[in-house]
Amino acid sequence: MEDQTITLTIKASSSTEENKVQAQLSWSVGQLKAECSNKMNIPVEQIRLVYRGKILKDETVLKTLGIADGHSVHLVKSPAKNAQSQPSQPAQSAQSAPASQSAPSPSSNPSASQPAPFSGSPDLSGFGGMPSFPGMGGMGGMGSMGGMGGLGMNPQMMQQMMGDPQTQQMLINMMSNPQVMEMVINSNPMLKQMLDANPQMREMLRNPAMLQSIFSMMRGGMVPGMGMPGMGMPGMGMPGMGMIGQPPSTNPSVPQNQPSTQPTQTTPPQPSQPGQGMPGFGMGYPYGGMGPYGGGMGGFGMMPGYGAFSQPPAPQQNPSEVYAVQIQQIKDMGFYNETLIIQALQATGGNVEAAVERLLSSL
Amino acid sequence: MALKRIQKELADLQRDPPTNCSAGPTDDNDLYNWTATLIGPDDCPYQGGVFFLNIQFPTDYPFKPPKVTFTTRIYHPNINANGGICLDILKDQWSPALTISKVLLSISSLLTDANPNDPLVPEIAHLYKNDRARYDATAREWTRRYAA
Repeated sequence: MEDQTITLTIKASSSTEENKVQAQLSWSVGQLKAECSNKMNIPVEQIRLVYRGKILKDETVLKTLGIADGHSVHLVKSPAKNAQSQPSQPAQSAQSAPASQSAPSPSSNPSASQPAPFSGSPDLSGFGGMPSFPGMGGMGGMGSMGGMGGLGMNPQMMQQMMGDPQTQQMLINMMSNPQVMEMVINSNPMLKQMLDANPQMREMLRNPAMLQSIFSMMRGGMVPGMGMPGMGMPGMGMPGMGMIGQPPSTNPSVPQNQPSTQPTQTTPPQPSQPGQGMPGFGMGYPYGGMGPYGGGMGGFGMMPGYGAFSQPPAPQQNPSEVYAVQIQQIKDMGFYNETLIIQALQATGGNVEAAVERLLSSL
Repeated sequence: MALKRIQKELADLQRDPPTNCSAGPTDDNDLYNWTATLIGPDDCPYQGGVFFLNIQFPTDYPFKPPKVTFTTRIYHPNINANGGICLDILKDQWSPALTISKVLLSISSLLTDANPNDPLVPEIAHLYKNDRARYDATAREWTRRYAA
């Protein structure tokens, strides 16, 4: 097979003039680019060649493309790197600068570091700092979500989880190991603080038997309002309630350590006010009400536990303020309906890209 | 009939394609399925972008219009998130006298001059009409992001 010289017409996007380039069929696209670079005085790394609707890869041999004498190839000049000055195209670089500034940069809003946006919605994951302990995960979120309720599971899921022997075993093991409990407690400054202020509670958490009995109650589908007479912690709520009536989390994968970030919005625990909790109603699983809402819960009396969950810790956190930056970014992309933007952001955990994706798909 | 016509169009496109467009079969064994490339025309916010399109010829081409969709994301009042293009000649104004080359040219000029009065994406059309600078900036940003 002898080599064949062909003449190609190079059509550059940024100029109307056409260049004829002589090439060999045995050349690779890279060689053709080099030839174009010489002929048209464009840095080779800025050249992209398009033929038959496809961008050509450097290593492809021309012969395999079916290219023939007299055919046309498009040349696209990529914008120069920012570092390079480009006197020939001042307009372009001027245009690209503001664009890149306004670029929503995903890295500027890592969702894991945004606890606040979620604090208002009950369906948020409370996995907190302990994602590796499925059963205990709620502890991390206890401050704001009320323990297990914070898992953001719907009742079926919770039931299922609780019914799973493996989970049960794990929970039991975990709960019967004081060290683990200690670790959990220590890993959560808020919880620790609370327990320090409330030795009774700590005692309870440290008592494996107590935990296990609580757990088995939970597994048994204990309903809100059931008391645990004798515990003497009237202010406490039940995580089970948190689960019940909670919509499934739309974003279970975002771990958030909420309690540590919102210490100011919480009510101090008031476990020592027996009248508050209306014993027989307000009592329950320690994880539930143990949070800073323990006090507030008592006030709800007939709705034990719900106090812990139905009072989102940060009602004053307006989503439009929380997401101000992201909203602006999305608005810059041409979306106007702030309500929809906020909805999308809430559903995507503040991820601009995902929110835009969502908005677009709903158009 | 369709095949012959498609082959002829391909031959023409290889020799003398429009300045900003390139097209050919995605796979040489299936002439009914093409990939096209539109290079963002100068003097518009899509400048410098390389946009890919998918073209599907019906078996009764050219009596029926080809199906043309963008596969590259583009911010444009007449092109939606699925790449659907709102262009009359791809629908009721199709004529067998039209060719892929002409269709691509029409799409190319749609990039330069959008038609906000017959929008596929009303939000973008609204911006196009009321805040052209923002529209331009956004379209440029999308081009940089998805088509660079």
